[in-house]
Parts: sequence; C-alpha cells; structure tokens
Amino acid sequence: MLEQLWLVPVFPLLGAVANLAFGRQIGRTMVSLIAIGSVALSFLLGVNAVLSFMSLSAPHGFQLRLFDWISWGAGSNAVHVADIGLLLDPLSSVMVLVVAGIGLLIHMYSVGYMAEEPGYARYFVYLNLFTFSMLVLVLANNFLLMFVGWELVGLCSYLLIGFWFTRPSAAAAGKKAFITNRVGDFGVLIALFLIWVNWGTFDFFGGPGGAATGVFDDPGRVLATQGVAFAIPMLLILGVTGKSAQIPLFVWLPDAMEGPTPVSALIHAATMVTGGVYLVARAHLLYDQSPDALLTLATIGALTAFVAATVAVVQTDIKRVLAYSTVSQLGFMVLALGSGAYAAAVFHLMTHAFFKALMFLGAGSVIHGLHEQQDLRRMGGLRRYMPVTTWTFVVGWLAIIGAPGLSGFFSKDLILARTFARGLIDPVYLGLYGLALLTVGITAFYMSRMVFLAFFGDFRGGVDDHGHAVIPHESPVSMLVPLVVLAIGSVIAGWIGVPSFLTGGTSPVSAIEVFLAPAVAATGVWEGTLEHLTEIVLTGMSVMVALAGASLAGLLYLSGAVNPVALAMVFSPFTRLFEARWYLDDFYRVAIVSNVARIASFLASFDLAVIGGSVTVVVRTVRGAGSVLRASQAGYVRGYAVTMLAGAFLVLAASWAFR
Amino acid sequence: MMFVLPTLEWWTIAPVVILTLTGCLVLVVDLFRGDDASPEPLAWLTTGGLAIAIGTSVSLWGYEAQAAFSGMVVADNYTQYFTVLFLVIVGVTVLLSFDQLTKEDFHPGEFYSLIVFSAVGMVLMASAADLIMVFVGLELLSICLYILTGFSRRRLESEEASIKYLLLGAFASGFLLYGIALVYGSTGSTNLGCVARAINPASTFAMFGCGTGSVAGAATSGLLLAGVAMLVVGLGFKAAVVPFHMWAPDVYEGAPTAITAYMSVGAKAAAFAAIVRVFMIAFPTLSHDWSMILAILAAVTMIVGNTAAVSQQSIKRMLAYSSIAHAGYILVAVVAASQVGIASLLFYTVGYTVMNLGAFMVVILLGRRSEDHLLISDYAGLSRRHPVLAGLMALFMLSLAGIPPTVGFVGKFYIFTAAVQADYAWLAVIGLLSSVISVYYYLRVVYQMYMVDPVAGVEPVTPLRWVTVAAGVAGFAVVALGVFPHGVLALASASSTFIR
Repeated sequence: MLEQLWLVPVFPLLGAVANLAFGRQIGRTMVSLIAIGSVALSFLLGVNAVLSFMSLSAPHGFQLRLFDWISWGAGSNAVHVADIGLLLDPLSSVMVLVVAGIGLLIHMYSVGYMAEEPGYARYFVYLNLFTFSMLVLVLANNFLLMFVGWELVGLCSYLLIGFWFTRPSAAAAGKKAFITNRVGDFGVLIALFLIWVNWGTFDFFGGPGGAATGVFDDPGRVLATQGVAFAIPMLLILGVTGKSAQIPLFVWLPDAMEGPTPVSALIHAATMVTGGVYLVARAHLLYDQSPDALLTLATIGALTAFVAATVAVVQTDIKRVLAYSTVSQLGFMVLALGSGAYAAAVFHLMTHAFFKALMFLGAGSVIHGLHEQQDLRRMGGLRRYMPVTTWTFVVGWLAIIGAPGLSGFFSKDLILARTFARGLIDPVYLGLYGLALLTVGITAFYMSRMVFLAFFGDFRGGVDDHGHAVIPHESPVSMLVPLVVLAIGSVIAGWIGVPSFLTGGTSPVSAIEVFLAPAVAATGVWEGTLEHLTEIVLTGMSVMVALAGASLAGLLYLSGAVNPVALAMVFSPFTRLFEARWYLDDFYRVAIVSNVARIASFLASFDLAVIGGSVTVVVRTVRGAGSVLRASQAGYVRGYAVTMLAGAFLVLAASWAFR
Repeated sequence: MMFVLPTLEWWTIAPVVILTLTGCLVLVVDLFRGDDASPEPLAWLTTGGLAIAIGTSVSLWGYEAQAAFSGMVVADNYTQYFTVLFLVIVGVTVLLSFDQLTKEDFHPGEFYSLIVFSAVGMVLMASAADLIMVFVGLELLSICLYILTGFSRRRLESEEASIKYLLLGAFASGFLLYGIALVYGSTGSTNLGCVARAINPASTFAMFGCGTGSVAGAATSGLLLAGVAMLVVGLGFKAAVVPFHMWAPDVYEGAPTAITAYMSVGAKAAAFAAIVRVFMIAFPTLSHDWSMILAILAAVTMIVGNTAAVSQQSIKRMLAYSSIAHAGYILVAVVAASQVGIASLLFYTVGYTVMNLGAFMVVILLGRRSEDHLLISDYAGLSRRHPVLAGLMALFMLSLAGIPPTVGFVGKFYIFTAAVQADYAWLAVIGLLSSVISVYYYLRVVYQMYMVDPVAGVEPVTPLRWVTVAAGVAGFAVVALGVFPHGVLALASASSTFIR
C-alpha cells in the first residue's frame, strides 16, 4: 500500500478544490461530508501506509518519487533540481498520524463550532488546504517541496487567523503572523540557497530517479568550510523561531488567537507551529555538525519556555493563556532539539498535540457555551454546567502539568532527563535544565490557575456586556466526541515512551526513541544516557516542582487562603514585567517598527521623487515612442511595403557587415 | 537506362493525408446540404478529422527521423510535436469560431475546409526537409489565411485586412522565393541537408535525405549570404518580426476574432517551425553570420512590439502588438542556437499558445455580437459582471507578462537562460527590460477589470458554455505548466535532438 502514499496529501486537496468550486451550492451537510471525508480517507491511508512501512525493513524510510518537477537543460547540460516525491520514515510517520488524526477530530469539531458561520464553506476550504499543505511539509522528500509546504501552511494560517476579516483586530493579527513569519522564512530561503550551492541537490536522501547522494547521505560535506556548517543550521533556526514561535519571533502567536478556536487548536497548537521542530528533527544531521548551533537552539528553547510561562501567569483571556502555554511548550521541544534529544522533541510534539488540542477545543466549548465570553474573570464553576468539557479539560490539565502516568509526564521528563544528561558533558546545559525545571513549576501554576478560575468556584459571568443573562450550556455532541477522543489520547499517548526503568526493558531508551532512532538518532559525542537512579531522582524532582506550583495555585484561586491581588502587589515589578510581555512587543515597536517606518517613509519619498520621477520620464519616452510607432502605422499598404523593403536592405547590409 | 521509381513512405505524411482528405470531405458534404442547414455536422466532421490526424501524429512519436519523398519531408519528433500543437490550435479555432460562424452567416463548408487546408500548410512547414517544401507549405497556409481574414464579408475592415495581407504577403513571398533561388544558385541544392553539406562538407544531416553523393556546387559566400538575408525577410514576415510586422496589427484587428487568435498562435508557430529547420539545419556553420542579425531583429522586435502596444486602445490591436513582442522572445531562442535554446523555443510555443488563445477566448466571449466591445475600456468593471472571466483574463495577462507561477514566466526563464548560456546576455537583458514595459499594458487590462467602475450601457453577456470551459482549461494549463513544466519540457527536449 506504500505506492498509494501520494493519495494521503491529495485527498484533502481534492476536498478543498471541491468545496471551493461548489461549496456555496451544495449546502452545509455536503460541505462537511466532503471536508471530513477527505481528511478521514487521508488518515486511513496514512495509518495503512505507516503500518506497511513498519513491516518493511527500510531504516532510511520509503521514498516515492512521483515525477520530475524542476529541471532544465538537455543532454549533458541537464540540471535536475527537484522532483515531487514523498518520504515516509519514522519521523514523517509520527507527523502524518498527528496531522491527519488530530486534523480529522478538529474537522469534526468544527461542524458544531462553526455551524452559525456565513463563511462555512470557505472555512472548510482553508482547513482542508491546510491539511494538504501540512502533509506536504512533513512528507516531502526534498527541501524545496518541503519549503512549498512550509509556505503554504503559512498562507493558510494567515487566511484562517484573518477568517473574520471584517474585524480589524483579526485582519491585523493575520498580517502580523504573516510578516513575522517572513523574517523566519527569509532565513530558511538563504539556507536552501546554501544547501544548493554546497550539495547541488535538494534531496534529503539519494536514490534511483533522483540525486545519487542526498544532503543527508553526506552531511559532512560542508565540514571543510566551517562557516557554512554553522550558517545553515543557524539560518534554519531563524525559520524555527518564526514558525514555531520562539524568541525573538514568538509575538505573532498570541495574536493569532483572533482566528476561530478550532483553528487555534489545529494550526496554532497541534500542527503548524511544530513545523519548526519537525524541520530541525529532519535536518538534525546538519545540526550534529555544529555544537554551537545546538547550544543556540537549546538556549532559545529554554528562555522561550520560561518567558512565555511567566507571561501566561497574568493572562485573563482563556485562549491567551493557552497561546502562551503553547509557546512555552514549543520552547521545551526546541530545548530538547538543542540538547540533541530529537526523539524526545518529537515525542513531546506528539503528546502536546493531543493535550493542547484538547484544551483549545475545551476552551472553544467554554466560549461557545458562554456566548463568546473568553475572560477568565467572567467564568467560574462551569463544572456544574458543562461536565464533559470540564472533565476532559481536567485530563488535559493533568497531562500538561505532568501528573504521573499521563502523556505529558513521560514526554516532559524525557526532555528534562536528556537535557540533564547533556549537562553532564557541557555544564551550560545544567543551567538550561534548571530553567526548564523552574518552568515546569510555573506551568503547573498558571495551568491550575486557569482550570480553577474557569471550572471551579462560583459562576461570575451571570450578565453579559449588554445586560443579558448568561446561562452556560454544554456543547453539542459533535463537539464533545472529539474532546473525549483527545482526552483518551492525552492519557495513553505517552505510554509508548515509558522510560525503561519502569518497563524493566533492557534498552536504555524508551520505545518511542527506538522507533524514531533510524530517522533522528543523534550522531557524534552527545548521545548520553543516565543511570536509572538518576532518572528516578530527576522525575521525582519535576513532580515535586509541579505539585508545588499547582498547590500555590490552589491556595490562591481554589481555597482563597491567599489573596491573589495582594500577592501580585507584593511582586508588582514582576507582574508588571509579565503583563507587558517582557516589553518585547514594545521593544519591537520602538526599535524596529518605528525605525522601519522611518526608513520606509524616507524610501517612499525617494521612490516618489527619484525613482518615480525617472519612471515618469521613461513612461513619457515609451508613450511618445508608442504614439510615433502608432502614427507610422497609417494604414497604407504602400507605406508598409516601403518599410519592409527598407528592412530588407538593412538586413542585407547587416549580413555584409557581420560576415 | 534504368528508371528508378522513388519509394514513397506514405506513413511519414499520414497526418497531412488525413487532413487533406478531411478538407475535401467537408467540401463534398457541404455540397449536399441546404443553405440554411446548421454548420454543426461540418464542425464535428472537421473535429473528427483533426482528432484522427492528432492520433496518427502521436503514434508516429518516438521513431527515428525518416526523410521521405526524395528528401522533401522529414518525419521526426520535431514534426510530430508541432503537428499536434497545430492541430490542437485548429481544433480550438473551430470551437471559437462556431458562434460567429452562425451569427454572421459564414459559409461553413468553405470556412472549415480552408482552415483544415491551412493546417496542412503548417504541418508541411514543420516537416519540410527542403526549401521548396517550406515555400509550398507557407503559401498553402498564407492563401488560406488571406481568405479567412476576409471572411466577415459584411465588415469593411475585414475585407481591407484581407487585401492588405494578400498584397504584403505576396511581396514577402517574393523575397522568400528569391532567397531560395540565391541559395540554390550558390550551393546547387534546395535540400536542407545538402545545403549544409555544400557549405561545410563535414555536416552530417543524413536524415534529411540528401543522399551520400557529392554535392554539385560549392558555396559562394556573397550570393549565399544574400540568400540567407532574403530568407530572413520572407520567414520573418510570417512570424511578424519587426520591421516586417506592419501588416499584423491591421490584419489582426480586421480579421474575425477567432481567425486572429488562430493566426497569432498557429501561423506564428509554423513560421518558427520553419525558421528553426532552415537556420539550424541548412546554415548552422554560418551561425555567427546570421545569429547577430537575428539577435538585432529580436531586440528590435521586442522593443517595438512592447512599446507600440502601450498606446493601443483596442484589445485586438494590443494583443497584435503583444504577439509581435512574443515573436521577439521566441527569436531569442533561435539566436541561442543550441539544443537547449530550441527546446525552450518549443516549450515557449506551447505556453504562448495556451495563454494567448486563452486571452482571445475571453475577448470572443465578451465581444460576441459580431465585433463589438473590443476596446480595453470596455473591460471596465468586468470583475463585477463576470468574476470568473475576469479572473481568467487576469491570469492570462499575468502569464503573458511573465509573472510566476504561470507558464509565461517559466517559458521566458528557459529562453533567457539559453540566451545567457549562448553568450547573448545583452539580448536577455533587453528582453527582460522590454517585458517590464509589457507589464504596463497587460496590467492595464487587469486594472480596468478590477479597479474601474463599469461603464453604463455595457450589459452582461451570457457566456458560451464550451468556450468558457475551454478558457477554464487554458487557465488551468497556464498554472499547471507554470508549476509543473517538466512534462512538456521533456517532450520539447526529445523533439530537439536533431540539433547538435
């Protein structure tokens, strides 16, 4: 069944095309059937392909070259640039299942959530197009096709953030996301140029029909020129900070919450934002060449995780808490990548996709049930009105704070353990480990705060802004089913990564790491494993820290033993810093946006005066020449014949002159 | 004395035979039809003949090049590539002309047989292995086109265009024939392979049917160069290369729009098919003589075509100048004089056909009551009256301007790459700069469609279903070939292997 792999991305594309062409005529039921059906087919084929792949003994993965895409020249001058081809290996297997699986659930959820929307068909066109693009991104067998997917998901993200484009804030958020990502994409583009110059191919791996040697068949080619070996990973990191919302480019993600909530769950939590993580995991052989680039990555990750978590503490909008939490969790993944623990990053990517999608959809259910209310201060006690939403949300909460046995527990501890292991070789990583451990505590605090404020205590939102009474109600079944499925996933998804000291296995690493090893196993000196005792101590520490964070939140928001306002006053310098989001947006406004605006206005006047002026001259010349030519075309045959004759004489004369 | 009958490899000209029979059949069937009968059966008959000819041509793909009829024609991939292209163009023209045919009371039997015979001429031009054959094909094509141009008998402009085309065409044919005579005088042969061998005994173009015997004359450079120059004039006229282009705007404007579309892609492609054969086979060793001339002509053509298009008010006239400019781009590929250059020429011909025919389809859909709504200002506010047509038109305009991800961009990219590789970077620069000018007049149409309020009194038309579908297919092809050019490019490369 592997030969049918190409159908996996094609089905959602067909769905998008069908709904684009006929969406307005065929009614909502058909639109939903087409959209969900295409993703369901894609998911089933994906599962089938992954199963077939696992029964295959092909460590580097299965390559399917569909056809030649870009090449020019002929004969010995022929240059082959890239083909349309797919690569299924352990890494892309995980990604396909996450993208198509979570995508399917969110398509189903959207039917209920978007039921009242006028742009129903348009929404599903975008969502299908996104699924297609994301599958292209993770399945591409070369950098160029991957970049096409990379850009397409960015486009879909822009379209969906600005879905309610009549709302100025949504339109602005869409633009912000797009422009911020341009900065990152610029880095990726330059990296692609460097790859082409140094390897002469974009293919990941060589094989029949493509390049003889792919980039990853010979990752050490650029060792001779150390600058390039450092530059390519660093430029890709720029792309990661854009797409995966890391410092310094993370500012777009919280604003992206202007989009519909299922979109936030799918694109801005579970899949697209993990594109950067996927990119590094895919290109890890290049990172293994450059410890400096890895350290940069780890530092960015740890700092992002910490900063975003502190900002999440003071947010009052339920979606914004989740947005900052996503940034923070992505920071954990990037930290794992920077520690050379690529498998751990991908593992956390997977578990995070479950519990964060679950919580976003849960938040969507809450917003739906409260008639578009997103303010945590106007919630409270919702467990009495929305039991299913509440208890599935609680599962997600327990998963993210790392309650033992749930998925987040295993993946987060794997990251911490691998970072610590690397710290034994390079002490800088011990500092990053400490920061990450502190972040675990903060995470537990802000997540618990959100859950307590929203679902426990008394309901505080009895009257809306217009003075109407608000009675919370549970959401329709079509929205609850995905919640339950995701809750189950949030519990069990981690069980494929149970550390070996619990399973008693002989391998020093967990099952997921063994599975991913052919695709992402680190090469070089960095691979380190820990004694079982050390791992147990580390796990115990993180559980204690998380418990402390959650307990503090309980004291503040559940039992009311400590007044949160008073506590905030005590730490006012910090709370101000957090509320201002570490002044990063302000910094950009002052240092970059205003300067860019100044340069832009200068260039605009330059453009108007100098370039515009010269263009005007050119235009007048061209227009003048045009009218002269037009006048010469008087319509008399004799004139035309004379022109031809003169031309003939000129050609004759020229043929004498050039002989 | 033994008299040896020449062997006749009929299969090499099978498409020509089928087309000729189709044309005759159309005339015969027409005799038995009443005056008021619907032209539909004849249209189907024509289309059927075209389809069979296309199928035959496709089945001849991939065989080794074969000269036939005593070195008059050659059947190779190049022949089949152009044959299929020409016949598809003719098929589309049959579709496009149907509406005007019924409304303006054209005589269908004559119309369809003429268009089929003109296709015979084009196919012969692409398969010619002899200068005489080039001439015969060109004349067959031209004479049919003179009549087709004047087919709107009730419109004076159509008659005028027809007469102008005839007079100037005859003038150009004189040049061509005189050029052939001079080449014959200096080399002793009109066969392309023999001419090449007379100029350079080391030339090996055996598949052009020159035989192995010695060649009578030796090349005399003065006569030969004059002959080559005359060939440039005669063939350049058909391709509408500046300064032999003056007929094109008047004729394009006067002819029925479907015929304009046909001429702008079909006749032009046929002229280039012959130009490539003549200059790459017969005179490759003189390339440093003629390539500079052609390079200057290409530069002038691109500049004049694009500049003159700027000040046009009629969309047909604008597209006429645009097609002159595109002749310049294609000529750049000839100048590159390499296999890559010719492959890019073949690719560009297909791309240009798709986007230009697409643009004409929209023009036809909007100007249906005979020949009105043909000013660029009539397109004002089209996006509100016909959003789909406006979108397609915008796509075709962007492609003609060479903006990615359309086929126009990829085609220009290949051609200019070939020019740079052949050390004609200055020509590529002129090409790029003059295409910047072209963006102005192409986008003016887009501007009118999307930014300007509709003019009162221009009421919406009901688009013809099949023409709309064809325009949609063309729009799809413009993007598909722009993103996935490789399939057609591979065919183009396989068709240009006769060039060393």
